[in-house]
Amino acid sequence: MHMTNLQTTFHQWRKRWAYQPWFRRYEWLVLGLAMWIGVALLFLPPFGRPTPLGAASVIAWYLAGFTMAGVLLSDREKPILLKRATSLSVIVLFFGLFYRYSGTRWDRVQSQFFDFSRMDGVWEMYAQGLLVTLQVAIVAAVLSTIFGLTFGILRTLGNPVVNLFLGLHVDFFRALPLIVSMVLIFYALPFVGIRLPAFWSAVLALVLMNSAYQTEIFRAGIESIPRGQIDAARALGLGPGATMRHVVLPQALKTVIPPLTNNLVSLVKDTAVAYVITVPELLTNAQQAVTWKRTPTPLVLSMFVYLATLIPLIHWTRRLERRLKVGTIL
Amino acid sequence: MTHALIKPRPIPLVLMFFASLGYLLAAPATTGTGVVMDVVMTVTVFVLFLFLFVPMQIDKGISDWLKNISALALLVLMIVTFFRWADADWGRLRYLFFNVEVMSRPGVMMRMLSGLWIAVQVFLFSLVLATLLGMFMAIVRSIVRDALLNFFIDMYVDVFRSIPPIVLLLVTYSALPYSGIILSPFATGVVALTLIEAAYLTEVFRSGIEAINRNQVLSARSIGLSAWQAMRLVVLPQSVRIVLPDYSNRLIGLMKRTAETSVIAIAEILKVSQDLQSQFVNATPMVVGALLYLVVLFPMTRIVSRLEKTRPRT
Amino acid sequence: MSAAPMIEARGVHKYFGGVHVLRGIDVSLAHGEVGALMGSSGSGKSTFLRCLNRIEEPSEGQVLIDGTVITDQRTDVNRVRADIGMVFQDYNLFPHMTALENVSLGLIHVRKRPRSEAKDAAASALEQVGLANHLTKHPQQLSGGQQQRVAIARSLVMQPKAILFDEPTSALDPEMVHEVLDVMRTLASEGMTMVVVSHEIGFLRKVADQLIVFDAGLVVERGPAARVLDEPEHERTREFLRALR
Repeated sequence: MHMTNLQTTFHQWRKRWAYQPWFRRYEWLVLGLAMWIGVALLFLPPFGRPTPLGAASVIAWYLAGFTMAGVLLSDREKPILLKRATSLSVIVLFFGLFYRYSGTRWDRVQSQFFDFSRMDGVWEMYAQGLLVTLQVAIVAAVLSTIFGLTFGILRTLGNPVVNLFLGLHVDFFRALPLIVSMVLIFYALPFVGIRLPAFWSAVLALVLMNSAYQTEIFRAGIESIPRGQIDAARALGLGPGATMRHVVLPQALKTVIPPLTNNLVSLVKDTAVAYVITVPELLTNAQQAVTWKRTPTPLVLSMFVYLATLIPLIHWTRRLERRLKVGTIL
Repeated sequence: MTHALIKPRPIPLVLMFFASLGYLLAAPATTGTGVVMDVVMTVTVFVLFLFLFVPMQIDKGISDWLKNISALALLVLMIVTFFRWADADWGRLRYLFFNVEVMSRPGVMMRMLSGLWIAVQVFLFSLVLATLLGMFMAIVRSIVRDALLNFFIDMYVDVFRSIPPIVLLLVTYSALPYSGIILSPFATGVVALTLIEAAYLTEVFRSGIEAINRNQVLSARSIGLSAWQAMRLVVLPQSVRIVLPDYSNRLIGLMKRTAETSVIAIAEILKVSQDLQSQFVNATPMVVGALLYLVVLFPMTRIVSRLEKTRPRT
Repeated sequence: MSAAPMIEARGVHKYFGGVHVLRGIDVSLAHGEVGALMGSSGSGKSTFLRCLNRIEEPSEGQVLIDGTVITDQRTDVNRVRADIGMVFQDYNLFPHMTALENVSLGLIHVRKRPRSEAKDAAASALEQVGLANHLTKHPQQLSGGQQQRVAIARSLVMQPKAILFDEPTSALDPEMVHEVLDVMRTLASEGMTMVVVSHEIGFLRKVADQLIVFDAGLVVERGPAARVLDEPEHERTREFLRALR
């Protein structure tokens, strides 16, 4: 009696998976897994940097496992728990392989890069540097927004000469790397007697580049307002200035805010480039601390300071975008 | 009242132009405390000019040639201001910035061009690797709907979009040798740039994939196409069109970022220019370096600008 | 009723690039008259309507409103437009403002009335078109017919000398066409000078005084509405009316 029941359940189970392609069936997956583990136990190189052949075999082995995991994950009918376990193993395995084969002196890593004992005084330097970073970013943001808005409005007016010049300005500063313009302003301009202090060189370079981007953002926002709105405003007797102020700009604001906030966040990131022109911002201070304390820890930790500052900013802008899409504000 | 402000007045504009020109040409650029007065006066002059200039541009009744002349007038004022403050004499300017002699010394142009070549190599390697990685993560993110993988991918994207590239370059450069991973500066630069660009490209490709309405995929599947065929014949061609402007923008950003690899001793354009500049105490190499960047990037930005205008409305 | 016509067009031509869209239009509309413009699409009727308040600039010719030449370069276009209302096919209400704000905008910023006075006038204008309970709603919360009535109120509140209607009911669902036409009918009976571009023959027959038929940039027929509709003289008019049925 038991045997028949078992047989029935077994048959039912087989029928359930019968229409699936062979590689999705549990039998093959289990077989594959077994073979894969077998290969691992037999052939994988030991701890430490592998030879090129060893490295290739490790990579190939990982990719094989990765593909099998992919097959499992892309199958909608496999249970979620199994999928979660698989993806977890994929990621853990990746880091495990890195740990095993990168040849890193793991004992040294902590003492070199995370040597908190020598960080006295560095935290203050971080704070000062961060303050300067924010100053540069905010000044550059305000100035480039003013210029961006003005140029954006000017570009929508249709005058061919204005469009040509502004178009050239936009494309030129979108093409020139920020670091190059900063270096030019700070190191090359003194040759003609224009000596801007480091802070203002950085701000100038940032404004030149950013206003180019913001011109395009504002222009796209303004041009996205349907012609009918402007017609209706003009038909009421509103002049071009009043139309812009009461009808066009309030509506353009909704389109314009997401790219604008993104732009401002990347401005904070771009201030790190000012390191090369000795602006005393976060990165410069971190590098000075590296020389002072003779350990790379300040640099590595400064990276985390950047993360701690910027990730919340990014999340906040993303939330702002989402609320705008729903239309609950403005 | 606003009407009165907005009314275009050509004659006052002309007078203002000559007044500004007169002030700019006549008053010598001063130093010390006089500088502040000078700056204030110049700014005032410009603001007054702009007050008269902008209504001229806006009003539809003014003929085009008047508008163009006034735009040119503004440009002239700006150029005059620049040259006034730039304490320059022309021979010296040419000697310092456009010095053909310095550039034609043996090996100089060769070094600049090899710098360009290295920059292009960094760009290409990073581009290919980042595209592969980004496309892979985008596919995993939007098709394999696994919460855990999604979480890790999102974390990766957030982290690598938040680190300033120059910081990552410096960290990888100084960190890796300490940990026993010996990579050439070139490879280090490529790795850092790839990691960052892949984060951005994931988002770009994701929006391309997700923009294709699920109904399209469903109708493709319902006529018997397999998942892979549906992806290849229906989703990808449309995604490419949507993704192209953003992708090209990121291409430009990547090429620009190769300039930042100069801080980790990769001998690309900026580094070579800086070395030459200090070697010859002359700014010409910097100018030529900037021009090299522009030669590569300016056409790209023009093309992308035009591409952006043809972006399909989803 | 003064002798001078309220709206007059003399030899109006319009070129879009190389295309000669209006080939010399002469129109005369007395005070309180309702003029209807009809014709197939592309015949120039909408373009001509928009020339009357210079939303489109005529390339040649003159437009006179209440005796004043408005096509002169020196005329203050905005002052002119304040005296002529316009109602569009797709309403063009400002989505970021409530109905009340939409209607009072013109009074506040063009006629420079104080805010409270403008709001009161706007409220009564909205009452006039039957939307007293919808003052604080945004356009997205209103039906098409309601939106169009707000648009009419927006023009009415400026106390214009004339109102131009550019296919006011073409974008509406059939059930809502009535409510808008009723408002227009009331306006006409109160003596407002109106120029209407529309295909609603039944409405035009009852309300319009003068029917002007456009074809390929020219006026091919004009006359009392009933006469033109029942006994069209020109071949093109006949074809057009046949197509409408």
